[in-house]
Amino acid sequence: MVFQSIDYLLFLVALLAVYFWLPQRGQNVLLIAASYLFYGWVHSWYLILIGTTTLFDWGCALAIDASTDATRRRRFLILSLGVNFAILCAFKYFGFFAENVTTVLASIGLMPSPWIIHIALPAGISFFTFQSASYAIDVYRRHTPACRSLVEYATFVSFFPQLVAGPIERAGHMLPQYRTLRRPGLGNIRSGLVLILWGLFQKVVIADSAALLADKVFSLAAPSFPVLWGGVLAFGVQIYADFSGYTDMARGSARLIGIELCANFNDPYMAQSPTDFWRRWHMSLSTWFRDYVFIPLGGSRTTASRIAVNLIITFFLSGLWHGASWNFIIWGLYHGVLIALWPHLARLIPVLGKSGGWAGTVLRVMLTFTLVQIGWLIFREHSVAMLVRTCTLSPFAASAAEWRMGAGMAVQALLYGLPLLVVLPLLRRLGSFPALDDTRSLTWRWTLAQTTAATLCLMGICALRCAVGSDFIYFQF
Amino acid sequence: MGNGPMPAPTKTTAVLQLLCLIAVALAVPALVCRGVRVVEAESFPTGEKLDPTTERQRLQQDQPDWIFVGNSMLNSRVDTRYLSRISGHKIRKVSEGGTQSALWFLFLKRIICESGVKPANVTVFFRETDLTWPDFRVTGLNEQLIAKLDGPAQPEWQQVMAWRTAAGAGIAGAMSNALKTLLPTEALLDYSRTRLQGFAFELTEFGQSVPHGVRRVELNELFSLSGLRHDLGSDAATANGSAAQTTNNSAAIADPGVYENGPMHFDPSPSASFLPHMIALAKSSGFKLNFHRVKRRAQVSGLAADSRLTQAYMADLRAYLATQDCTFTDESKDAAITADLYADGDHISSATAVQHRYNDILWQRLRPVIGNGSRNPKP
Repeated sequence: MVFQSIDYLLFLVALLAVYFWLPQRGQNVLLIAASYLFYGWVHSWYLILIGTTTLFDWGCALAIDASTDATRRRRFLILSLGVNFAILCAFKYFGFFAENVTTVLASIGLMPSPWIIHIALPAGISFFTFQSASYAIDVYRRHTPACRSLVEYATFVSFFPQLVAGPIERAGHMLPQYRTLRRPGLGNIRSGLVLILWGLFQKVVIADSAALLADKVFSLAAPSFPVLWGGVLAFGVQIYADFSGYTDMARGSARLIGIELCANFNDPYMAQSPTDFWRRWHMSLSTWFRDYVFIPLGGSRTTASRIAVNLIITFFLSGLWHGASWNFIIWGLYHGVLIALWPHLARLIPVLGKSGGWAGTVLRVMLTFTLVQIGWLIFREHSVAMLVRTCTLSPFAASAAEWRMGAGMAVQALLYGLPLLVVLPLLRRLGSFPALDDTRSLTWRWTLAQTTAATLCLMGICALRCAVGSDFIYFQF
Repeated sequence: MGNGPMPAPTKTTAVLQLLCLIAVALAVPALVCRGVRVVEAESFPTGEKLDPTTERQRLQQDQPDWIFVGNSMLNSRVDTRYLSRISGHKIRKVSEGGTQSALWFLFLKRIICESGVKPANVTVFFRETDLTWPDFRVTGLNEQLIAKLDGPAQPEWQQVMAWRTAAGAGIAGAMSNALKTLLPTEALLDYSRTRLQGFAFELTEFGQSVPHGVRRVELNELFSLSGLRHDLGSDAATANGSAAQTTNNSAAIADPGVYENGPMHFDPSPSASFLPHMIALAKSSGFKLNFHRVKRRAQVSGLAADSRLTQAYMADLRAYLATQDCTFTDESKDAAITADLYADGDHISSATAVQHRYNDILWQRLRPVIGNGSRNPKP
């Protein structure tokens, strides 16, 4: 079931109609049932997977929490992480690994029997596996106590708004919310509705329109330089609006249920450096890798060379998380190298640091934006051979018509993305306009602002939505 | 936002505020949609999708004895002029890229049958489970074409689709219909998306005034079949096989997407699909129906051999068609259709030599069904 469907609207309304009448435990049981229905809507066998992960991690965490023996605690943690990542690897990486081994063996004259199996990747497996794994680690580190209630833990793992594409939540943030009776106020309901509409606008107007352009460019056998970069820019708009739209619809839906999910984006295209970009893009994943990979590797409190290695390892894994494909690995490494090099470059070129006033800020934003777009080319182009070929494209070989087409597509994508890329960040900085998702006040001024936002979103959906819909990009991860 | 704590409104005020938000957010777009529809709907460009009236006139004028129905699988495969020449039949296509069985039924009923022509045979080109997947591709751009063909008003449509879109899907269908009634967005969508694209064109003229029509043709040529990659599954073929005539709106070019299978259980009941209704039309109009399963690119290399489900489905389909006095031809196992014949995805290349080679193969397969034609029949 997808958010942008009538089915989902009805599902949500039906859920809420019952939800508010139930006691706290009943609310959790209903959420589990609804989440399993949501997740198993198309493929019911997915439920076996999520059920197994839930039961296993819940049991392991209890064992970790109950024990004072360090060795025993570590064993249970390894067991929990082992099972989590074994499931993830089996579904996500086995085919990739087998294909590459077969290719290598074939290159040295060995022809192994065909042992490659193609398994359908269950939606959201990377998200709930990471969420569940973080819980086991947090319990092991005694950052959070083990959850005694299987119902509460199952709600945490399966909560439908964030199950398929995040945000990747932490037990410390979510479990306390599942332990209380939820009676969201009218402020929450209002802001939840506005968030859902804003998310829907981002998806069906911005992301789907940009996808039409990007998909066409990336289906070309030999795009020219301007056409390719017009398509890359369109993809940059698409992926941001697509993921941000999903997150806002998830946060809006959760808010109607009385649950607060963490934010996942903070104007990422306004970032002034690659490091800043990762503080603003897919924040729940970035902080996951920071807390559970980068810091355990030694973090930034070590030698410069070791920091660089830590960064590159972390971003290599981040790239691999996105998908079992070489382009994702290259994309991760690209960002790792950028972040590792940036401080050194900033020492050589001061304007890359914090100097230069507003002109320096504009320059840094534009440079970071350009570097991120280069990254999106790597992310979007799955064929490494094609990727290499695009690097040899010359801007001087393109005709005037090709420049017109490339620029036309880029401008079209930017026009669709204007509300997300420019208007919203500006309004946030001006500070004179209430946030779309503000729950604090029920004054008439807030009502006017939220009503205006909701009206504009719905008006935009009516006037500009794309006739050709597409799945959320992050569903495939 | 003010400073300091704000007084909490009464519950009544809060409810009123929420109702205001919902009412205004719905009312303003509803009014705008209606306003635009009344004032400007007639002047909006309608795209180059197939026009039923023109198609009927074309058929009446040509009086073909063999008509092909389908989507881009057909368009990229059949060169009507060449096939007419080698078969001796007068062949015409009634097709549109991206369409599926719901529209094929409407092509049969509203164009072929209503035109009054008497073809000896109508051949429908399909992939896998297309024929029994009635709700596949009935939204988006196809919705306009369905409306042009007055699809929802047809009793057969009601029988097959009603329970899927309204009564059967119950509240979901009713709500969807209610939203469409409240927010009739088609005209506004056409208008605003075309304007936005036009504005983007104007911003990127670089000092040269290039008419928007020329810009669209440039884009259509850029994204023509011949320029697409061969390693991607794609459905973005054009209605008539000519890339330059895809559409007048680049934002409306069909999205290249990977084709997926529909329901794998063959159900011949009249409420399950349009297939029984197509057959009934053929019987009442006095022409034979042939269903031609195309070979997909993945089947060439053996990467996608028929699953047991597909085998069972095809066996059921074949048996059913035999009982209905229809024919079934299947090129999916034809070894002569090799990988080099393909362009992108499941489409056959538009190169003349390839077209001739494919059409020769196709004719050999279809000849037992229809026999040689009367005009210059080949031995």
